[in-house]
Amino acid sequence: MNAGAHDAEQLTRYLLGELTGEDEADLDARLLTDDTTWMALRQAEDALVDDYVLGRLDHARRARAAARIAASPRLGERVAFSRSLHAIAAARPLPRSSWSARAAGWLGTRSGRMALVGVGIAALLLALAWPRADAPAPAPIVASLVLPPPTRSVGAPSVSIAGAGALTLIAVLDPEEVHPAYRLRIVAARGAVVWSADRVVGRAAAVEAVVPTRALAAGPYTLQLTGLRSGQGDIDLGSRDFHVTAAAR
Amino acid sequence: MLSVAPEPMPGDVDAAAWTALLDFLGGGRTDRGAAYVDARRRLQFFFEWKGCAGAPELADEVLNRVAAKLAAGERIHTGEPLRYVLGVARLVSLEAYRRMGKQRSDDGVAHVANDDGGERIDGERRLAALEACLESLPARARELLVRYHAHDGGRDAEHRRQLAEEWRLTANALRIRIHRLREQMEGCVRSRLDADGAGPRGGR
Repeated sequence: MNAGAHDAEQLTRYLLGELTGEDEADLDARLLTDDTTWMALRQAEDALVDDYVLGRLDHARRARAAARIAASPRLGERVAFSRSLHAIAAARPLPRSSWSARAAGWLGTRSGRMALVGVGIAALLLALAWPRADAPAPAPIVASLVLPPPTRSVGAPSVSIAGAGALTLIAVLDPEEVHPAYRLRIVAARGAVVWSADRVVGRAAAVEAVVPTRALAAGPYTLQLTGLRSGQGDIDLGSRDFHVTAAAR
Repeated sequence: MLSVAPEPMPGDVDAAAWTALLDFLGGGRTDRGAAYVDARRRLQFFFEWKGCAGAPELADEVLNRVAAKLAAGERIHTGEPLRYVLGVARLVSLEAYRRMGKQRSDDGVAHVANDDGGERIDGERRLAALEACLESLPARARELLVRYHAHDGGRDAEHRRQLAEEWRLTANALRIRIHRLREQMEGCVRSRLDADGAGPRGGR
């Protein structure tokens, strides 16, 4: 069989032990002797690990993948890396999205530039006519804290807050925890809710919130996370402990 | 050319067998060590996805047996050394299944409980290491890697097509670029965690 004839699904089936007979034997041989297939299989492994992390495998495939991952420290490392990569990709602002790329292309045309001038003039007139409001500038981000899923956490992470502003709080989710939106509550040691947010939209396998640092004195806290499911009721996603070791109020 | 000095093989393989193995795998190439490392890596992958625990050790076992046969003067007639190696690997995988007291089960897995690798390492430290590694990449490469995975975890075909177009790559070249960047970042994270004392981990 030609290496190019191996589609992604067939390679995934091979990795999960779903091929038998000649098909399996053929890929066994190509794994060892054909560089193109070897590269394609490593890419298929990337995709399979991502699908595992993002909860995209059906029950049977998830079980097969989990068994192989459990038997291999290298695959365990790859799963952990994939979790981190998706958490960061979900949390980072995108430098240039596809819609902005298309918009940039359109603005390069004559009609686009004319429209831009028109919008600019309208915005200027509106700004001059609008009553001046003292809209507060967004608080500067002075610290960030990433909270792993409870099952992965070795201990309560800590953060030191330098200066007044805001703390970026990122909670990494287990794949089973991914929902359309979330409710977040930060509870102090004595049980008082010091900050909360509703209908926070997550991205991929993480949910991110910006918390004013004035809400957080030095001490232990718990982030309580609830998944909001349309029509199915809310679901408790557990809590993550963290410490604020020094806080500027 | 990859300049590699493989570690001495475990077991009872002597220097003559080791040289014979390198000659066999290298097939006249000057970078015989690289051929050994490549074969071992592929064998490890083979055993891992067959669901065998201890894949690095099984890969070594395969190469030890081939080396022993060569040292014993057995003439192996094959145009492709790794085809012969595969035959030995299949035998070793069957023995591994037997040792574990089971045939390949319905899900194709014969495994024993193992630790779950990197999951033991504090997720925050791993994230911090990856952040630092990403910062070490050229901005354009970093942007590509993050954007590829930010949109639906990299599985949205239309998003990938747009990225390929924007980076002036074919779809296949984009996949290879992403794979190599991931490998580079995984290596970087591993080095940082090892340096911090979180590792090292075996089996690579």
